[in-house]
Amino acid sequence: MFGNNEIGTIEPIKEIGKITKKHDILFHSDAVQAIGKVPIDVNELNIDLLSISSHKIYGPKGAGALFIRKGLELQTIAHGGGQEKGFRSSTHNTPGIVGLGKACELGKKRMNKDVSHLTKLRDILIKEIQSIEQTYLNGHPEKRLANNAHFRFVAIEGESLNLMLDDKGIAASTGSACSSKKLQASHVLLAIGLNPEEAHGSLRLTLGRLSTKDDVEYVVNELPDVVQKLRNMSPLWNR
Amino acid sequence: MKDKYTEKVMDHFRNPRNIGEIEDADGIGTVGNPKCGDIMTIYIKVKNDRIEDIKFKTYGCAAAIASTSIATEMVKGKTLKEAAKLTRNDVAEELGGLPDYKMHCSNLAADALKKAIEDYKKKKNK
Repeated sequence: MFGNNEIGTIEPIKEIGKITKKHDILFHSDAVQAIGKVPIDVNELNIDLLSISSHKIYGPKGAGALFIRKGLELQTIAHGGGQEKGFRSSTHNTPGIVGLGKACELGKKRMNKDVSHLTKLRDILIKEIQSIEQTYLNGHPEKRLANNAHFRFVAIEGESLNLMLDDKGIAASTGSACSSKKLQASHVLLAIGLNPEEAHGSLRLTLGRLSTKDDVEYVVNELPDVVQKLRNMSPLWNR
Repeated sequence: MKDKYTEKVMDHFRNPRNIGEIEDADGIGTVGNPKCGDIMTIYIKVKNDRIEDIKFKTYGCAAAIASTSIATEMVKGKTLKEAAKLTRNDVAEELGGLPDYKMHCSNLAADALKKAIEDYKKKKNK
């Protein structure tokens, strides 16, 4: 992944590209989260294959694209009418394809403005929410997507937190096992070294082009009370 | 995400009854494991073999909080014998049902209550 979908960490793609090139290994990067937020030059980064998705850059849902470096021969998994150079049979989703193209064009033009807007709002979230006691940021403090803020709160569980925020009109997500039918904590959070308990108390807040300073201030004002309410109920909260 | 919970679950989650601790509790029962994401403690105060007062604290999802809340309501004022009969199914039924995958991980209130009653008996027989 170019930028992690849960914790927003931007991976060292350039370094990985150097290694794969040196050893003659094909390099595919999933840039669904990163596109429109990080400049991506597939030549400079030695990326052979790159996936992007339309809805993440304000394009129509249901369209995506795979960049394939010239000269690479991939085998198709969709046989039939031979559309898209035989690589993806099935009638072209013309509105989706045109919409994705336009979204890329606009996204490139607006990227600097978007990123500076998102970064400003994200940094308010990070600064204010981290000031809640026993609350920590997950993921890299700087090398992270401009729209992603990810936290963990000691002694509370993410599904409860999510539902209470939902009651306040705040839409978030969590890596807690309790919100997944598999009842397993997020593999990403476990992989970065958190224990299951820490992963359960996690919360992801993401921003978009239309998010405002008022939205962020509302979240920052409401969140401490919700966290405290849940901590007051929690046998793990010792204060 | 809300849809999977009944209105009654959401009500007990939003407004849990009998939340807190009893400082001079006669019996305390804790079950669960923070690793699984659910842990609950029930405190009881017993008088004439009846549960005179009951409080709880829960760390966990909405199902865990709601099931402990409603369980405390169901047994408050009951005799210990009656209260000990409470089962996980009774609690889930009273809530109007719980999602299947929550039945075993989060629906532990009946177990915590049994432990609290055992704790009371142990202390009493000392």
